Amino acid sequence: MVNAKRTKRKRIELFDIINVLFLCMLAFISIFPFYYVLIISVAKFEDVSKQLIYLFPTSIDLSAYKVVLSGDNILSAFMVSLFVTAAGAAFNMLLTIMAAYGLSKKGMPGRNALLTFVVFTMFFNAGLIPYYLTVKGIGLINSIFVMIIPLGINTFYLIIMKNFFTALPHSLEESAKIDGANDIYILYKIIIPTSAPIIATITLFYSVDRWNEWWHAMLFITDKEKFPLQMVLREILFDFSQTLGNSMGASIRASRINIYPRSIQMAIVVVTAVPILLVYPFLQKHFTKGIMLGSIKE
Amino acid sequence: MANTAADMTKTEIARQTGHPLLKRILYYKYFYLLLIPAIIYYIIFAYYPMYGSILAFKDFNYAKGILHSPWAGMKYFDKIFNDTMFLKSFANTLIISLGRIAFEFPVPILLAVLINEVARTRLKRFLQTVYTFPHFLSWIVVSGIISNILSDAGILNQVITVLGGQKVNLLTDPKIFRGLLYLTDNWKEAGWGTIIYLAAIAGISPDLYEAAEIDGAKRFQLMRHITWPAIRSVTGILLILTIGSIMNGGFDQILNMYNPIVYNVSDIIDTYIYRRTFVTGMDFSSSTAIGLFKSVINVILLYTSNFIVRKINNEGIF
Amino acid sequence: MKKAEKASAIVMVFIFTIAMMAGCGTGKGEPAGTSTAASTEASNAAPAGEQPKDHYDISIALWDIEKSFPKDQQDKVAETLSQKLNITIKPVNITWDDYTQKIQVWAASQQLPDVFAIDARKTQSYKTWVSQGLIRAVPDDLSKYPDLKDLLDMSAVQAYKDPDGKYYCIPRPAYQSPENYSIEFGIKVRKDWMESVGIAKDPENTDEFIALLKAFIEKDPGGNGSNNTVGITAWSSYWFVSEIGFSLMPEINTQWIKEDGKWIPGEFSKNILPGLKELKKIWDSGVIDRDMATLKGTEGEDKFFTGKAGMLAHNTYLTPQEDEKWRKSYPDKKYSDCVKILLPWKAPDGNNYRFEGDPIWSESYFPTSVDDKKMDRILMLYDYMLSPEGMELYHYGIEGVDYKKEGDNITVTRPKDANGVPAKINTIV
Repeated sequence: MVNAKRTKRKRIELFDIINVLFLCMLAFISIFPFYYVLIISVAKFEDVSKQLIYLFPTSIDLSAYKVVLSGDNILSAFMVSLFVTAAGAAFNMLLTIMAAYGLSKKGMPGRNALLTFVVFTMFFNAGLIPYYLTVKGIGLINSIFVMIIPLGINTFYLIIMKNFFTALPHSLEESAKIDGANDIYILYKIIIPTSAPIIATITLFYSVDRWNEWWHAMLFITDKEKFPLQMVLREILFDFSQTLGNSMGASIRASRINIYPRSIQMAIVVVTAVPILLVYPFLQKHFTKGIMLGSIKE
Repeated sequence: MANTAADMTKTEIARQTGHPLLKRILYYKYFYLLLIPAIIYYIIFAYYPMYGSILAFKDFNYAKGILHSPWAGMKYFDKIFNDTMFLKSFANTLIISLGRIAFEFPVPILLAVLINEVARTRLKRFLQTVYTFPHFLSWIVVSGIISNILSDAGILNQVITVLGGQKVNLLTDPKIFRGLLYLTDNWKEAGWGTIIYLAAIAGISPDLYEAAEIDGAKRFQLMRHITWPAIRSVTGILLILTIGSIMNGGFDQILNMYNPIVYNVSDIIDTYIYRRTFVTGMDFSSSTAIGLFKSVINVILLYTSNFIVRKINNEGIF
Repeated sequence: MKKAEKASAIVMVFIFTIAMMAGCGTGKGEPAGTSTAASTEASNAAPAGEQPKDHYDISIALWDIEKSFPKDQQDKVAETLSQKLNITIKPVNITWDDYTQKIQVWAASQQLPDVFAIDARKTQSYKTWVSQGLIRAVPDDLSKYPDLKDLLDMSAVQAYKDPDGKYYCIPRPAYQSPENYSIEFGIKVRKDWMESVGIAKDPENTDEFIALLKAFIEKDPGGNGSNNTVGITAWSSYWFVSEIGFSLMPEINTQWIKEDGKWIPGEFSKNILPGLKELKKIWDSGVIDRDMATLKGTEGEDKFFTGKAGMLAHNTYLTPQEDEKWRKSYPDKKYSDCVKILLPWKAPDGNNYRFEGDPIWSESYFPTSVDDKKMDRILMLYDYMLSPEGMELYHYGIEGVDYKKEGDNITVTRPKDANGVPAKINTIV
């Protein structure tokens, strides 16, 4: 993200001023939702309801966090999410880097067929039941790995990475080949280090996806110790008025569901989002370190 | 100057096509090897389940399973195409997806370019990080916040009445609801979308900018001739992929934000199925038929857009 | 007398609720006393103290059931059941969010648990399951299970039989009769506001209704400012339309109605149209919460309990959460001094209508994979939970630990909190 040498230009134009102001305004808008979630999570019910617009906290009440963090599911859910994110992203990257490089050579016979094979899966969805039966057949029902293995590759990301590899200068490989290296060695020792920005980017994408995973857990996992954090979050946030409001059983169903106060809902949102937000800036460092030597097509 | 693999093809392939097929395959043997895990993965989790699509043409019988259930021909397709609400949702899906391409797709690109223009590194990093924050909140939460702002009792109306105006009910206004969808989706996702473009821009050698500036190029010329070409190919790929998923339309956002008053403008295929499943329990064959219909359209769009983009950019997905 | 006792014992029956289940019954405060008089029937398949032969594992899918079976804690109530009936309950979790999908998927993949709960009786799925032999019937001879038999003989429950006369599910009534259910629907109104604006009597027609609400807004007895006061809000638009429907268009609360010789859904009755016009009048007058269509979760309820709305179209009782909200907003005002239920005025045909609906919601189903012997044990479980002994276990916990029983008197011995209310069963391990 950094073109260090550009700071050489000393003249600040009007454009720069307007640009920065505009972008800072956007930054403010981007932070606002989190700010709002945060203050509601530490707000007392009376304070929020008394004020017409609750924008500045009048008092800090941490009881919502006490409730959330002492919930019996939270610790296990957190560990599950951590494991799934780390192992999952690793698995994802392994598969994706190999496949992306494998598909990156235009001269390779059958490449187009393979590309079609891969991309076609993005747009063809065969339905819930066969997918369920397949996963069941593999033996992943009620296993933590159901949040990792069936999600092995995101074709979208694969294509993006493949394109980056294809755009790498041929010279990188040529010199290594002259020295007798085989393609796998090249991938490992040369391609990957030079592709740091894209590797970091896709790793980030996968990590966030794994951290946010809940659908596979919902469908395939019945042991609550294996629930990821997002499942716990959804349970607490689930707004049933969409599905209940129009049925005769509305009142009965409503009395069965525990409706959590807003402060607890917001507290769990914070608890779920904070870990991944902490990871993100670290990865960002690597975006800037990468020195990619691709040149530009005219 | 043929120095990328992409350019290399013209010369290399010319060299290679002289060689017999077997030799070429051997030349690329490691690449095939690298592809094996991925191929296995796709076969198991993507292709094998596709046999389930035939359910769209069958009357599902629990005891017999998908393969041995009796055939029903086009019965379920007739059913869904005669369902006016389905057709309406289909129309909405198209309209909203096209709207997203027009009003959402370009935004991360513009944003990335603007961020790139910021001189101070730390500010740049800060901005880029902060813009991604809304992505980490789910639509359940974000729609709740939007509701707090735009509802009748919400912040916007408080401000309006203090200033002496009349309250507005934006969330229930069919005329602007789609626009609201685009706006809020940008709010939530545009920042995240800049990542991939900024990664592409990061690959631009600073020397190019230097050289151009020395030659007297102005800021906008730099953008046009250096920044843009770098992200052009990524843009092309993302555009193809976006067009190929037109039939999806943004289920998560719409489900959380819509309400009965705006169903007629915002109900998309997926939200329609969702409601039907919950209330009347849509049968498997119908939902499979709809899924099949969506997939076929997606694939057609995918190939068409790939073809067009390839004509323009000289490269597509395939 | 016996029947009535039995009937009151069936109130809020969660057949498999072990006392720790979250969210149960607490909505009504401490449950109304069970019949404690020792019932004169000997009943129960196994003689007291003797375990039935053969152990069975019974898998049960019920909403949030996992909450009731924490792995690292010993639940005495579950143990009691296990011992009495020689079973082990295997909980299979489903949540409110996903239960329809999960059960459909399990049905299609031969993975249904022995017992599962879902509200499918009125859907196409039920018909398919029966016709394709996916679920099994309850045996016709229920003499071994007298308490269960009483439940299934109730008139409201009989409607759930299949046309062939068998029960393919065990309905789970929440109320023993439609009358009890109907009490639940009502509009809460701030009677202190009514006094404040000088309107003493309840509205008897639409115009008076509008006038009262307008007075709430304009005279602002809540002190919020007219712009921030809402006339009437609701839990959701469904509640509002149902409850205002008693007075404007009763047909809307009827599922099926016969008109001109044909059965049509109540909403399509020709009598609805004038009612809708009245409803439009009310909407146009501005007294209805403009956010009615977008209310999520407890927003409507919050508006009422924090004093921003004059009326709430929801239920007639006060849940602990609502009570808490009231206390926080009005620490020095008693709820019962300020709120009452608005009686619906007469409908156009001169009658007073009330809500009438099916007091049953959701049923328990059994896949055909459950053989007769296992079914027998499952039915014993149901029967036990419905018996006086089982009901005592459900309501009060373990005798000697949670309560003492002397003759007909039950004394709760669980620790009490500051207000003298015994700790909820579901907070005790």
